[in-house]
Amino acid sequence: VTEQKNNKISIYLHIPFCKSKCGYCSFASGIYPESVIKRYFELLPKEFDLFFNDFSESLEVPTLYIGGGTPSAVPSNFLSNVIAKLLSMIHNMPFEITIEANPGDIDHSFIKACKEIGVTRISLGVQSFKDNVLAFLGRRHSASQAVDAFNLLRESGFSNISIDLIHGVPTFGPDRWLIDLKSILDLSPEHISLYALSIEEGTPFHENKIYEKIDNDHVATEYHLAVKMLRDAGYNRYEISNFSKPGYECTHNLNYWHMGNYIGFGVSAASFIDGIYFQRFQDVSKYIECLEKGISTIESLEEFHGRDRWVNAMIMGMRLEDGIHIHEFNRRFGIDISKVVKDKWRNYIDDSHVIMDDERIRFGDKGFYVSNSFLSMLI
Amino acid sequence: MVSGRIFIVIQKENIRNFAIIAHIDHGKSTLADRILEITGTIPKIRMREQILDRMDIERERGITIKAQAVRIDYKADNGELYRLNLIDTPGHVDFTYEVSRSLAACEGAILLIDATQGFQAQTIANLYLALEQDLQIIPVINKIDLPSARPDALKREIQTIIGTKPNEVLAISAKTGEGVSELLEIIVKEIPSPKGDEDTSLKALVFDAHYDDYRGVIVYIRVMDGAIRKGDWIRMMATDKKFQVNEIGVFKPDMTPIDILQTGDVGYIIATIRDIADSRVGDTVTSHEKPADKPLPGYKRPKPMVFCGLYTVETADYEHLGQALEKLSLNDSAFTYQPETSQALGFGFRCGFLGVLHMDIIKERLEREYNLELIVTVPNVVYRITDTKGYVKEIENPEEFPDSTHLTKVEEPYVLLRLVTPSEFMGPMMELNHKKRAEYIKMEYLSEERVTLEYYLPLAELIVDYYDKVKAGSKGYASVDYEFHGFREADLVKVQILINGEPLDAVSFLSDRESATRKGRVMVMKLRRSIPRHLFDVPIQASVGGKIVARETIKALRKDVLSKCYGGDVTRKRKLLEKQKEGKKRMKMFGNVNIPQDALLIVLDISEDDK
Repeated sequence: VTEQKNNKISIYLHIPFCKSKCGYCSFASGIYPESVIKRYFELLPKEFDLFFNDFSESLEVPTLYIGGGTPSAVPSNFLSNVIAKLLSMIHNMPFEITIEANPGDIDHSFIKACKEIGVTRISLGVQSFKDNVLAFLGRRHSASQAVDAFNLLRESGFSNISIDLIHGVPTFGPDRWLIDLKSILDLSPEHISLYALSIEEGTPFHENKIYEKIDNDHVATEYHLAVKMLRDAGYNRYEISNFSKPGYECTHNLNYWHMGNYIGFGVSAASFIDGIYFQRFQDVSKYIECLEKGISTIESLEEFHGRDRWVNAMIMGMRLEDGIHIHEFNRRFGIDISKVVKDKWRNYIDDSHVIMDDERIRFGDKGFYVSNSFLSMLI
Repeated sequence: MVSGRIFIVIQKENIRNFAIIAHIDHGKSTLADRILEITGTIPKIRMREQILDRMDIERERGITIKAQAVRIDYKADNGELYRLNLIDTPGHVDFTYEVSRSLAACEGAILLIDATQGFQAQTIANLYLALEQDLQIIPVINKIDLPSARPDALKREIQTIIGTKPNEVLAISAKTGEGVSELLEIIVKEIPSPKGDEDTSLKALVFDAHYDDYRGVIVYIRVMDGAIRKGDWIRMMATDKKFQVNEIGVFKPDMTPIDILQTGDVGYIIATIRDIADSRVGDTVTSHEKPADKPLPGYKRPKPMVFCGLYTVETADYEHLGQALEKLSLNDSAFTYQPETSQALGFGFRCGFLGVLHMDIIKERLEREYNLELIVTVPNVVYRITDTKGYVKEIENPEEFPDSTHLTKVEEPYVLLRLVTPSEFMGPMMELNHKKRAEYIKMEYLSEERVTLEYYLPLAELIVDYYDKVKAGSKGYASVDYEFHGFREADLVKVQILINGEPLDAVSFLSDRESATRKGRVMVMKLRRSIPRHLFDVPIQASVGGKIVARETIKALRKDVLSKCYGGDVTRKRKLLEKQKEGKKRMKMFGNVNIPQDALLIVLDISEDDK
């Protein structure tokens, strides 16, 4: 069974630059001199060329996601120029173009650039509406800046705004989280991403052993509180950490979780095309060097075979509230997933852990947040 | 193999058979090395550190497990040639009987004491064994080269214990060789030559044996009366088995065949004995044609007193474990094993040992020499039960312990325990023994600073973290020795541990009634801390006689997921899950509950402390 080929491919563009680095951040990002930023933007089109020279014919690009780092932290004209070049290479206009932004960067010049690019969706990295939490996380903006930024975007006509919040922050009790949830509901964004603080190796938080302070029960309590409050306010949890008003799901991210094709450009960007997964250099200077020499920026490449293919699809698909579609899944991977699940998860197929009917397999409220335990049973 | 069989005939009068009594690390092996070197028995170039300890494990732990014997030709200052047979004794507490048999093969013993440490319990115990055999004792103070040596204080202790005047005690450094030549002269002068009758029936004492893959059992003997020659038919008096001797020899220290071992001689015989149980330590070898009318005194059959289950971490290694146990038992008739099955641990073996150190050694050898990863269940002692019909039975496995309604009497083994401690730690030592249900016998001062304490102690208490507690309570200065004393009536109950409502046999145990609840609680706490959270609540309970005495609940896991996961993360995530899965492999599935291997190891760690 081979991956069904199609001509749809989403694009991710990584902007690895920040004005400051947050204590928890493990993404390829950092503070660089403007000369490096300039060079990066000059060279990115070379990478677009390399890709589109091979594939240009009939590619349809439904979504474009500009992430980071902090895309809003670079000079707006750099952004608009490079996106213009990118869009000139594809034949359709993506119907969803998302850009990540720091609330401290939202000004008229940024908004103007977004309009030029054709941004349809803004993902605002608010993280918290409490200044002491923001200070703990190492965010450079204030709570009031976040509210102002949101309002400015609204006034400027952006009708699809997503806000990121981080919960499970140690030393802050559940009351902090309640305030954040109330604040976000006051703003009523179309989309909300809730991430639990995770401490990755190589981050300042890891060095300071913040992980020792993280209490997963506290994290779970905050999560379940959020699920309830957001549902009551009319949001759907369509993925473990993502909530939206009906019709405002992030199509770009859904494509990841459906194991659809995507091409990533820029430092560290990952791509998945017809069952082959690859990732570009994590190191900015190494990446720039490759592009200057006109050689491939791919650092690692892996082709998924056999079991890995459907296990990956389960890892991703089961993050969704709707879980996986049994027949589609079986057709795509040539297995009998309900049989596997009935065997491996037999003690947990009920209303709250794993919910299975003729069409779908999905996690219930008790299963979602412990899905690693379930998924590891499949391996 | 043997170059030049030149053996000078030496009369019995010029033979000196002796042992070295010393505590671990007091320098016994170094002294033996030095003697071999000075007498030219082994050229310096061939000297391997502590050549008498053959096994790696012995060298590493500094403990001699198997006794060894080496023949040394020594030209004394008086110009005469002497034959010294140095018999090395096993150096640890579980082998009191074996030590006593090695000593029985000697006429004298060097009492070697570390000048920085003084007498230790084991030294005193072995000294008493030597005195029981009427051995001539030569007290020697070792390590006088060390700056912390306190030879004068030690001389006073020696005077207290064996009455030797301080100015008559030899002080040496086995390391530098200082005083070792003088010691050789003293050995020749003070240790009596062997007695015994050359013209009567053969009587030879078996003081050790080991199994050789090609040659069968090699029996270490000391000829007490008569002589033994190649080709003789011999009989083992305890097992009543008959063999023909096809090789006789001595250790120089390599095995060197000779034609005859005469009265007073020490050496080995090979007689196509396939089973080591046929040449038991303490048995008497006699002539088949002209047997002695009675054996040498003191023979006892070794009896395992401490039992535990041995299981492999990898189920597939079970057969390998069985083969390894068979091999080890070829060389150790004191240790027993038989297959058993545990609900939690699968297929394994119930093994019997002389004591916990014996157990540790076997375990370590299995791990090291046979590359086995093992799980060892909580050790238990042998219990003697009398049922309502009056039948007496010995129970080696807590699983077999019957319901108390079927019993009229339960007895447990006691040891006579001797502790030597600096007097400042007397309080903690007495307190420890009190807690361990010990019965005080007496206390004696060795000097102003050091005391011996004697107790009757349940063996069950000795095998659970007793040594660690002594070490901790005395900053490592106290030492312990024991010998088996006898059985005493006990009030025992079985503490069942239930995981998710099911009894987990591997961690259930027997306890005296008084501490059952406390021990049950500790076990439950330990399990709660070492079993990971599951997708459901896991209750852990301890029950005594059907009554729950302790309960802890491992709450269901609430979060294990990475909340952020995008395109590029899928490989990383899969690897994480694979790692998690790998971890699961190292768990034992018990009902629906996964118990990690290391959790079992933690709870099976015999310390009962609630750390």
